[in-house]
Amino acid sequence: MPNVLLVDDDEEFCDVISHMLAILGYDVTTVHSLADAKAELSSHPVDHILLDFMLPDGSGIHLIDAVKGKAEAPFITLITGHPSVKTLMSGLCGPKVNYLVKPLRKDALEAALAVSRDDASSQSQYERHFGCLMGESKPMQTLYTMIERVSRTHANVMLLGESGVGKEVVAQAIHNVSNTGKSLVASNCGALSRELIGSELFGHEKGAFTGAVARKMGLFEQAEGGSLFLDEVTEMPMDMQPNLLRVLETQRVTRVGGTKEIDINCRVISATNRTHDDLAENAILREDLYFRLAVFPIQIPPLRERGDDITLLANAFLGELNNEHSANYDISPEQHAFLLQHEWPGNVRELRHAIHRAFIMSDPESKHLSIPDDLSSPFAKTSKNTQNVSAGQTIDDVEKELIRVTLEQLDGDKPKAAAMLGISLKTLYNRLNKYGEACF
Amino acid sequence: MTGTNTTPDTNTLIHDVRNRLNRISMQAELAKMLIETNASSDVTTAALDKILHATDECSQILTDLSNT
Repeated sequence: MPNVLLVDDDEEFCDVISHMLAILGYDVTTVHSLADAKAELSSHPVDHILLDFMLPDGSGIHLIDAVKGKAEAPFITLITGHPSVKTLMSGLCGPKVNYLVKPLRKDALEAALAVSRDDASSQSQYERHFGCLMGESKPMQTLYTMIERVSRTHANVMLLGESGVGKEVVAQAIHNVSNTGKSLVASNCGALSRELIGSELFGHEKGAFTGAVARKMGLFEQAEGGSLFLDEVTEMPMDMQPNLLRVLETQRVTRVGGTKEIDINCRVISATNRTHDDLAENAILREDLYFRLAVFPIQIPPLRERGDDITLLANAFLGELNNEHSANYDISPEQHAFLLQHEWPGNVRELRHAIHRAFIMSDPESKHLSIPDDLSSPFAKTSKNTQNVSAGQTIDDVEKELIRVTLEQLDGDKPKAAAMLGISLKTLYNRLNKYGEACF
Repeated sequence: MTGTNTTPDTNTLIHDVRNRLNRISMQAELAKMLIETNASSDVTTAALDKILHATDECSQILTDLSNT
C-alpha cells in the first residue's frame, strides 16, 4: 500500500483527505508543521508528500529543498491557493514536484498521486504539466500560463500549430485543468464524411435518414458539462459551417430529423494546422465562425522554437521505451547536439518516431541509442523546398533558391536542371558562379 | 477566522475563504465516495454538515469584511 505524508495545518482538511485517501488505498500520515514533517521523514520514508505551500513555521518550499537530492526522494505535490506560484516555481523545484491549486478535486488529486503510485521502473522522471504536457522552455511556460488562464473560464479555444506539435495533448491539458469532472469528447472533422457530419456533431432521430435505426446523441450532447475537441475544424465543409455557427451562437442543438432544441453546455476546443494567413486568404473558415471558435486562440510553438525541450523530450521518449522493453539505452551529449541541429518539421510526433526507430535499430550490446545520420523524412524534404515567394525578397534571392531546390531534386544533375529551369547550361553555370557554387 | 477588532488583510481573507472552499470541495468529493461505497448515512451526513459549516464560515468572513 503506497504511503503518503500529508503536511498541512488545516486539521479539517487533513481529516477529509486522510479519509478519502484511505478509501483509495493509501496509507496516510498527517503532520501540521515543517518541523514535524522533517522529523517524520527522518524515521519513516514515504512514497509521496502532499505539502501545503504555507505552513505555520515556514514555506513548504523548505521541505522540498530538504528532500531534494536525497536517494529515493519522494514525489511531492505542492498544494497552493495561488496558480502563479506554480509558474514561479516550475523548473526550480525539479521533476519530482507537481502542483495542485485549491480548491482541490478528487480526479486532480488522484492524478497527482498516480505519478508515484506507478511502478518505479515505469514512471517518468519528467514532469507532466496538467498531467500530459512536457517541456520547460520559455514558449512552453507561456503556453502553460495561457492554459491556466483560459481553464478558469468557459471560453472556446482554438489551437493553432503545425502538424505534430501536440494539439490534442494541449486540448487534454485544458480539459484536465478545467476540472469539470466530465468527459473530453474528441473528433476529427477531416475524418467525418460529408453526408454524416451533421449526424455526428448534432445527433439524429430514429428514421431521420436511411440507416438511422435508432436515436443517436451527437458529439455536443456527449460532451455535456465537459469539453468537445474538434480537430482539423478547418476541414469541415463550408456548407456545414453555418450549422455549427448557429449551435455556438444559440447554445442549442437540434438533432437531424428532430424538431426539439436541446440545450448544450460544453467548452469547444478546436484545432487547425492552417496558419492565420491561410485562414484569412483562402476562405477555409467563415469569419463569423472563426470568432466563435477562437474566443481564446492559442498558438502552440513548433519544436524548433522550444530549445532544450528537444533534449528533454528525447530523453523522456527513450525512458518510456527503456521501461517498456527493460532496456537501458541512453543518448550521448554528441547525439543530443545532433538532434538539436535538426529542424523537426514534423515536430514532437516526428521526434518521438525518430527515437522509436533509433531504439529498434540499436545494438543490444551497446549503451547508446543508434541514431541515424539522416533524420529527414520524405515530408521534411518537401517542406524545405516549398519556400513561399514573398515581398521583401530580391529577385536574386528567389532565383538562387529556385536553382538550389531544382539541383537538389535532380541530385545535382546540371544539364537536367538547366532544361527544367528553361535556361541554357552556360547560363546555369554563370548563375552558379555568380552566387558561389558552394551555396548549392 | 479574522478578528473583529482589526482591519483584515485582504490576502489573509482570500487565504481563509480559499481554505473553506477547499474543505467544501473535499467534503463534497468524500460524500460522493461514501455514497458510491454505500457507507453509513451518519458518516455521509457528517461530511455534508461540514460543507454547511464551511459555507457559514465563508459567509461570516464576508460579513466581517463588509463591516470594516
